Amino acid sequence: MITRKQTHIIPAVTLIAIAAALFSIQTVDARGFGGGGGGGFSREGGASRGSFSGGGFSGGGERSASGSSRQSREGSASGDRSANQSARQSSYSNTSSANQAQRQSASAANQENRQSTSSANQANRQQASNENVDTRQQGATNRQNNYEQNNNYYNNNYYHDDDDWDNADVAAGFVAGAVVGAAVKSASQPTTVYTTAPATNTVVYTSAPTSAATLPCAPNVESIKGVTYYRCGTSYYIQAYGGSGPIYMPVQPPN
Amino acid sequence: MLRPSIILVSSLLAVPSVWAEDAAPTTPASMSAPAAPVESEAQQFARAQLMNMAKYLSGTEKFSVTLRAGYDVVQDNGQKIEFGEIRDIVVQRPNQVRIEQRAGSGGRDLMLFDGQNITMLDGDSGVYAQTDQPGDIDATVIHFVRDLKMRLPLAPLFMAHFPEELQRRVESIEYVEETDILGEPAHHIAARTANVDFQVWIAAGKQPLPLRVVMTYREAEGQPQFWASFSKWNLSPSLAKATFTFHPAADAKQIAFAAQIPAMSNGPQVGAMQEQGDKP
Repeated sequence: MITRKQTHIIPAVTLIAIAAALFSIQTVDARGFGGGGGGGFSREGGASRGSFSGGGFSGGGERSASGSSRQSREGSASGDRSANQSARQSSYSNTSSANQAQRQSASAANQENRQSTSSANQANRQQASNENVDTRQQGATNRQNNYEQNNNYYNNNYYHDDDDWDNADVAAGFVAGAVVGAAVKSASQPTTVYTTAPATNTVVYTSAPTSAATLPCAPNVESIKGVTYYRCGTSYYIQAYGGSGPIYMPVQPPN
Repeated sequence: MLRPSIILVSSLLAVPSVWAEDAAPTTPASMSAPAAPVESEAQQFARAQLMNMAKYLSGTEKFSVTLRAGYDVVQDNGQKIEFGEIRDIVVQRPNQVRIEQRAGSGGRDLMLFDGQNITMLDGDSGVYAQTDQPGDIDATVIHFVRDLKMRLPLAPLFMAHFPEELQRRVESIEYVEETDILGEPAHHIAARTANVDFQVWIAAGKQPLPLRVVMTYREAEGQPQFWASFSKWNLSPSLAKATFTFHPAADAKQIAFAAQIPAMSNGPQVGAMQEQGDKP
């Protein structure tokens, strides 16, 4: 009896110790999960914006380093939407009859629709990608125009002209320029014009640095003309307030 | 079950809808005028409750409320993770808003519209961004969300034009049920915009305030949701001048809004951009 009792006590103690150890491990993991930048999970997505106008969000200015890839995925989804909607409507029409033969026909039509949708999606993604490149290239010159339009927009108090103001999928570029040299100046009163890199015959293609909540290195901190730069190798960053908090944005090297 | 008298009143109050694209046509196709959608009495009742809530809130001079919210983030591998936050909101029309946010990760932020500036303070690091924005709440909200690309869940809710913002978005609407599951009688309403399904629970009493909102981004990958529960509604908060005044700490560092900085993260870089060499 005693022996049996002892054999029960020992495993019980052991189990308690194991459970305590496991609990400790889980607690540490849980803390790392939430407090250490989400444990590697992306924290920003379409739903995080709580918008009535769609699930898109701006990749730039978000904390997540993977925001751009997710934005791309959502852009693809946007392309899918219209095609899928057409397919659904078509499917609905085809299946509205109670006739079994028509349902079978609808099934075939659905299959075709899905295949068609898949092709359309691919085309949409390619088109979206091309448009993104064009948009980026045109962005610099369009920004000043956007700024002027925005000014008129507010002066007229006629915001209903823009029904998509809270839809990041279609949000217009805004940057008025001008904040690297005067990083704390108002966007509505730019005083320093940001200039692109000087023309040169040397073009070096590199992997582009991206905005993120943390820097990719332990940076050298340099204060140049009143602006704090964080340098990783030859890449310069400045800290800026993104959609959900401070981030580090790559900028052109200071002159 | 809706009482006939309520339905009659709601029918009279209902704003004519022009949004439902899939509504059954009531006029011959040959007529040039677009067909007016036909909403059932329940739909009209739901729309009336929604608009009543929006008008009531937009007509409130000041209020404070606490918002407990959560949202799904669909990871690249398809896994859906929910994050949460609590927002203490104070609104003083026409041009002042203060929101203190506590994120699930422990971070605290402050958003302040004081009628002259937009200010964002990161409580963890102490850095803040500020930019001029003289104007009312509506213009400031739009500038904040659209131009500065900042996050402001349920942004239209703060606006004086909240009814118009809802009206132009809602394409279809249904009355789900009357429920007291949230602790008080409420109208449970489901509506659809062009690409968002949302549900709202509106207090059925004399103060038709939103109690809960659930939004489903039905066309986004994974159909993530955003939800928010409202509590501590106060339509007569005592507000001091300091409520909407920003006093940065002496060592606080001011930075720009990211949207104000020209992006250079895409495409080839011109100049002597080399591979980063001193990564740890």
